[in-house]
Amino acid sequence: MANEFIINWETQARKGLLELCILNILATQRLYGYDIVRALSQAGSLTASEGTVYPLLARLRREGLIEATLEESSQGPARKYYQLSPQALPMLQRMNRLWDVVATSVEQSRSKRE
Amino acid sequence: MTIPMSPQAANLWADYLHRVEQALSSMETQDVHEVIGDLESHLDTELEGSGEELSVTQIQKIIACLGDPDSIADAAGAGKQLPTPIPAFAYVLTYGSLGLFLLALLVPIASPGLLVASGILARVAVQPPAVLSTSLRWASFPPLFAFYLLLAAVLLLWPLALVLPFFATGGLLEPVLTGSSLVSRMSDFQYWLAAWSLGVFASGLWLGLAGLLHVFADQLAAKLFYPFWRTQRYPVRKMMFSGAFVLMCLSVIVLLFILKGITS
Repeated sequence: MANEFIINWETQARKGLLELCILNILATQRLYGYDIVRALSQAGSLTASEGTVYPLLARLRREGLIEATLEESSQGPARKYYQLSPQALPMLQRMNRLWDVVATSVEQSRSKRE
Repeated sequence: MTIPMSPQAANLWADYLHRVEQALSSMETQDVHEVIGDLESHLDTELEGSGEELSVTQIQKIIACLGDPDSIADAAGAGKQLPTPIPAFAYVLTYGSLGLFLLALLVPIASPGLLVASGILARVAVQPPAVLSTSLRWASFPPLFAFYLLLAAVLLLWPLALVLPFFATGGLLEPVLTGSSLVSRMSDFQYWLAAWSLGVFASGLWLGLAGLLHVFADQLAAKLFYPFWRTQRYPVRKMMFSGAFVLMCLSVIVLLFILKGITS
């Protein structure tokens, strides 16, 4: 039961934070799926597995937070490039502010415990 | 796929994609295809520049990095943990709703009320109260369409009342009994209009059938109880069925106008 709880909690936490990381990565550059996966892998161990990034990208695109365009590639098949949509920027700023609050709160609660 | 693979590696990859597809089966088909397409292009990019045939070991390594299908489904929001256990009362309400729906078919005079009651019970069974306030979802509930159809018949098909005496005197059987065809009594305009409205009716019918195909091509078990299914992910189907009903209703209106024109 406790194990199931922690697995669920981890999944949900990772998912929410991954979305925030993806949006932050795409806020400054235009990347294609594979590059986003690599950038996230380099950033740390947030991704449980590389395959989980693609459904998140698809969902963010459906939600209108990111835009996708297919472009021909000289190295192989066409690549799907992602970029932050203009309307997502204020939302991302709000998410980042919330993250600052959350991170501070968690740190404070931890320091009290320790 | 542009990467050359050994037959075993190709089988392994195809099997992996199939399992991902199954894990995502509660999602819309186009969304599933998008994720599958992304995974395929991930593989393409991963192996760009390598001219050699891909081995089973390499594919296993890539699949391990991509993760198991269930974790991908979890990330997509289609994971196993999402459907919460259905409480016992929901079953009672669902079958009660189905009972009322069947009763509505058996007792036409009370059908509008029974269909609405059936719809309400079904909604209560499958949705938490907070979602019930979404009026659009209520309005798009399939059993309610039957009610709308009856309402349309009362409000819009007013010529029906004028045609009723025609029915009463056996007028509809008249062509059969006397051999005089209704078509022969139509003006050119009525004939054109009848053909047009039959065409619209047929379009509505095909749209409805296409909707059914869309339903059955996916998850048979879930779609059989479509109105009672927990997720509300079928806007396309709803639109198709709504479109079918509207088209068929329109054509019936036109046909009744023609019938009225012939008989008056």
